[in-house]
Amino acid sequence: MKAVDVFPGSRRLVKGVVPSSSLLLIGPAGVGKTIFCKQFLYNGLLMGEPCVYVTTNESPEEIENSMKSFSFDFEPYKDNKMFRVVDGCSWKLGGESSSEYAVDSQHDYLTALSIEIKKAKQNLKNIRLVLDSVSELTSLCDHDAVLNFLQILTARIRTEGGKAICTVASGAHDDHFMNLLRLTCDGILEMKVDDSGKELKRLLRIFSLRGAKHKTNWTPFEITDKGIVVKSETELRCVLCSKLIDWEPITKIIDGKKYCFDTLDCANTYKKFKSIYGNSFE
Amino acid sequence: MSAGKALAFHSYKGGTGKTTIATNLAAFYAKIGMRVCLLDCDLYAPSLTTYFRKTPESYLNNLLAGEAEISDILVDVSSELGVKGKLLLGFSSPRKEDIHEIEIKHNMKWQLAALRRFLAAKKELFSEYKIDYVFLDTSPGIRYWSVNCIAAADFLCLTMRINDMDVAGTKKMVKDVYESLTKFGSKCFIILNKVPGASPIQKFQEKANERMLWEKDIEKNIGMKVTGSIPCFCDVQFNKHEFLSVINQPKHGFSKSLRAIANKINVINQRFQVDEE
Repeated sequence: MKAVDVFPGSRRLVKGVVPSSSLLLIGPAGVGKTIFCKQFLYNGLLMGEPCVYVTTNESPEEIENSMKSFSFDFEPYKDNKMFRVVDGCSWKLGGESSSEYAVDSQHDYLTALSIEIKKAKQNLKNIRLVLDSVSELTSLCDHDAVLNFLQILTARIRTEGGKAICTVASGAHDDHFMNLLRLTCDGILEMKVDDSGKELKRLLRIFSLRGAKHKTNWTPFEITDKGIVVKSETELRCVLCSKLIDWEPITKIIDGKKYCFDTLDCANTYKKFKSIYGNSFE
Repeated sequence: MSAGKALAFHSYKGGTGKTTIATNLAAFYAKIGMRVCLLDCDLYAPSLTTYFRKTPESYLNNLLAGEAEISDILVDVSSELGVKGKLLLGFSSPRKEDIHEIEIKHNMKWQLAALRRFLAAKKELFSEYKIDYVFLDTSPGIRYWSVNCIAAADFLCLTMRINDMDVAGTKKMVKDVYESLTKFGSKCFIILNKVPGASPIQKFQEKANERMLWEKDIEKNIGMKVTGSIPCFCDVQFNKHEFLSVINQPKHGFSKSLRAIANKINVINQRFQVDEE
């Protein structure tokens, strides 16, 4: 019922509607890419969008446990098949997969993965898909085959009106591969860690996002027990409702003083209160 | 941003039928597929808990105190009413300690902080819940929270009866308070309630043209448009537990009057949005 971010921080970083697109999420190991992806899927489930999680480095059980730890209650969606996991990992652990969409060996891995993704997407519309991670794929298959696989996957998501995020570890691949990989997606999200201060700081930025106006600065985020919380880089708040102003403030001069508002409606309401209460309303 | 609007239901005196009109209009809009939120802003004499027979976990009072978010206080009654749209309710606490607290205990600093939370919550209803109409059912007269509600609203629905005391008091209130809001874009209109016209006694039955005459008289006297008149229906008036006539008795004269008013408010809203553009 309540509107949620398309991806963590999207309403703060993207102006207007986030277009249907495939995004590449680049960042070092441990920065929070996987949690970001899980939150992206969970937000989709809350909005009634079916979700497919393609995993190459976590088993379905590990995914479930991790989602539970962030209070992402996906169980009802698993039961009604709105949340499906394509398991490209369990075979490595030598066990049976609990998912009905599972790759069972390294043999012709990408073809097998494509078949399972196709099966998992069956009868679903406007899906959200996560592929975590591209880096893992390159350790199992050659780079050209991985690029080819991703081009087809992202093109299909685009034509089907879905949304996808593929993760890749920064610093793990050469520039040539990374440049080609960037070309396969409609947008690039980047994460990094700043450890120059006393405390480790996680940062996120939208490098590019086709078809949307967005911020491009590095924005701090935290991993909390409810998932990723993207913070505001400024602390400018609306004089009326105290909401953080993420975009350009509405400035008005009232009785010779300059005030910043979040919306024009806030500015008008402020004037009404000021006319009733006078200077005691500050 | 959603193009939703906030409507405050206000009056000079009590007993004019604000709550009955607000609840029924809210239910009617939800019935025809709109998304409506009705907040019991009569913090001094709450009534929605009794009207809907609900005991929520959190009240508007908790939101004002910073102890709850808007999502914590809303109760969704859409499915139990079987409406096509959405009807969310926010209740005020009927506990005497809570009423006393709002009335006396808090200082001005607390009241201002509470007001900011209230305004932020109203904004969230439009931006996050995509509400078409937020109804603020206020307390009568010029009290702190009733003034806050009418200042926070886009539309002010002034409900009144046609007796002399109500007319004189309303006229003064319009001059003292409403005029300082209309200059910043608030739209005001009158809903006349409990007017003659539905009486079984022949001599009290008014014809449509007679009703129009005294509607014009009220408009001239108060200086504000009358959007609709609702006749006084004994069965509505003396119901032991009145409950949403627009849902339960859609063919009742009261429901028909409400529907006419609802349509007029929609027209006012459309004009308002054209003006804004």
